[in-house]
Amino acid sequence: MRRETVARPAGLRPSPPDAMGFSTSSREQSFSVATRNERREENQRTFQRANERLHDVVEGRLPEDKPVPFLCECADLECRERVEVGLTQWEDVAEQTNLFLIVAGHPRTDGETIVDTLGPYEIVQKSDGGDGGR
Amino acid sequence: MMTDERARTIGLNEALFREVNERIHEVGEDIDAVEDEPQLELLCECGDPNCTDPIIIAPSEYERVRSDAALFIVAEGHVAPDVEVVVADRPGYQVVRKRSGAPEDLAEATDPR
Repeated sequence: MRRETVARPAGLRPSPPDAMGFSTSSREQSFSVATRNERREENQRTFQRANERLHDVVEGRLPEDKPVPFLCECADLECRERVEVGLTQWEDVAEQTNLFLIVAGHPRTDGETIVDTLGPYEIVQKSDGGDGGR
Repeated sequence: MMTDERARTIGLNEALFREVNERIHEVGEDIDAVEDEPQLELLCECGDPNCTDPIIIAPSEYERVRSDAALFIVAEGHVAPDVEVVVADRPGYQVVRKRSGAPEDLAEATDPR
């Protein structure tokens, strides 16, 4: 696994590398985990924004029950799997700003919990009540 | 000079909005069934995840662009010169080609077709 390169606060010196060439201080590990989680959250917000655009383009122009191939809102920016739900179903999830609709089993950010399912999909909730960028 | 990580993020964002446009195009037949749509209303495929600019494009032109994995459609002025070059100017948008190397490789790896 590739380590993240993160900005180091002034005064914090890097620990010596381990046998694999990685720094291993717990402080550095916590920076790495935090950065990874922030990136995963940003990935989810990016998917949400993309789905908002998709929704806005097709809203009012498709039958309400016509499945729309929304993007999975998981934490993996390279995920391209589909969440095929009707516009109204998607809106019901999207109106609650801390909910994400993902393919079952896909990666989530730390602290997210599955609060419901929608067919083969999972509705996950951020525990911090973040607005998810909506 | 743009970092590799920054270039990759731009490339992934562009690929994401290309994917969204493909999905709009996919449901376009149903939209056409609801109303007469001689043009597709798609989204700018630039590297800014906050961009909301629409792209109005003829279906035939969209197909020409999509037939080449290295081509993207962006609103005028939304070009990222470090990773792409303009190959066509059209009313309201530009067609850009990913530069060879990592940008083109990523575009091909994420090509939904």
